[in-house]
Amino acid sequence: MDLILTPLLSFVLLYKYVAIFLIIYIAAIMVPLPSNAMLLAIGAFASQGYVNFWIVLAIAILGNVLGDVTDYSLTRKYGDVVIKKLRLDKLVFLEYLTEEIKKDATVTIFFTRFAGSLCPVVSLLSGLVKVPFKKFLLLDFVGNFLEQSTALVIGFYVGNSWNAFSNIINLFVAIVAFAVIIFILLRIQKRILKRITGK
Amino acid sequence: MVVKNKTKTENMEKWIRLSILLFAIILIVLFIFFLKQYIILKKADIINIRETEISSLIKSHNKFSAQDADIIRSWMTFDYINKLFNISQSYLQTTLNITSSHYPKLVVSDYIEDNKLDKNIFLQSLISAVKGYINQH
Repeated sequence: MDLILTPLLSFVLLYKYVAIFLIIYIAAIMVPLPSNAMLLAIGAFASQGYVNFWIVLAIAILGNVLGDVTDYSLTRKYGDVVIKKLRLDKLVFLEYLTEEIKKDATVTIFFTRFAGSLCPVVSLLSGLVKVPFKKFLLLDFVGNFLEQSTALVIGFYVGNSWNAFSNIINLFVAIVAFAVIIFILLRIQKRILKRITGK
Repeated sequence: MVVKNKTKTENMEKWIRLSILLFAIILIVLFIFFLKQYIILKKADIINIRETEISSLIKSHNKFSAQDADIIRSWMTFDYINKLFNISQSYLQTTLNITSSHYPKLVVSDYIEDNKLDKNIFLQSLISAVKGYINQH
């Protein structure tokens, strides 16, 4: 099994809800941890009576939302300064990207909750382009609720076979991530073509 | 200057188009792997469409049998194993002569490492002890 996953599972078994919150919060910020596989395992632990399903669901959503809000707040407050310091404001692609995030915030924020590592990136960009906080929070909460509950329910249902599902879940997450990237790039391409043709 | 900007923009559009194509190919490949994994899980009878009901959220899972003891892994804690197989707290501690004060909130791999034990031998002893308990009760 994964070298990172097994110590995380041991940590969860030792410290239960606190461990679950910490791992999910840290994974939500930007650290690439196998949180989906972990949620499957935790769902299985819940089916075995080791943890309470509803408490775990609440903690998982809370950890994820707080992590996303942390990213959003950081770039909302310091994003412009960092961009200027790194001279990224000269980057034309970034200009198109931020414009796209602003225009299609609903689709981008919601679907990237299912897209693994793309989620914190979009949270950071959302803060940078100053998507209204209430809108970000609502989309983030709904997306995270669906994503976390799906993984936990699958883990709960399959019980001991949870490990067999982690590959398929990871593939699903990757598919969503690439689909969102393609969507964003298509929209950016449309804008560029509009500018080129002057229409 | 305007011409230069237009060329830059056209170049960017070209790169974006190529990126879209590349990502679309990757997406198709990922989808094929996804379907493959799904078929594997279906053939292994892990996914059973007839059982996907909301009520399965609260359905109780069957108690574990002695055969199920083979799922024990070194990342598990003794506390978890006790709960999983409904074993009395002192049983494994006595049977395996575990002297650590952290028991049962002790990871099996940590115990193995601290006591410089052979991982496979200890795991087999642990699995045998659990099987023995289940067969007796």
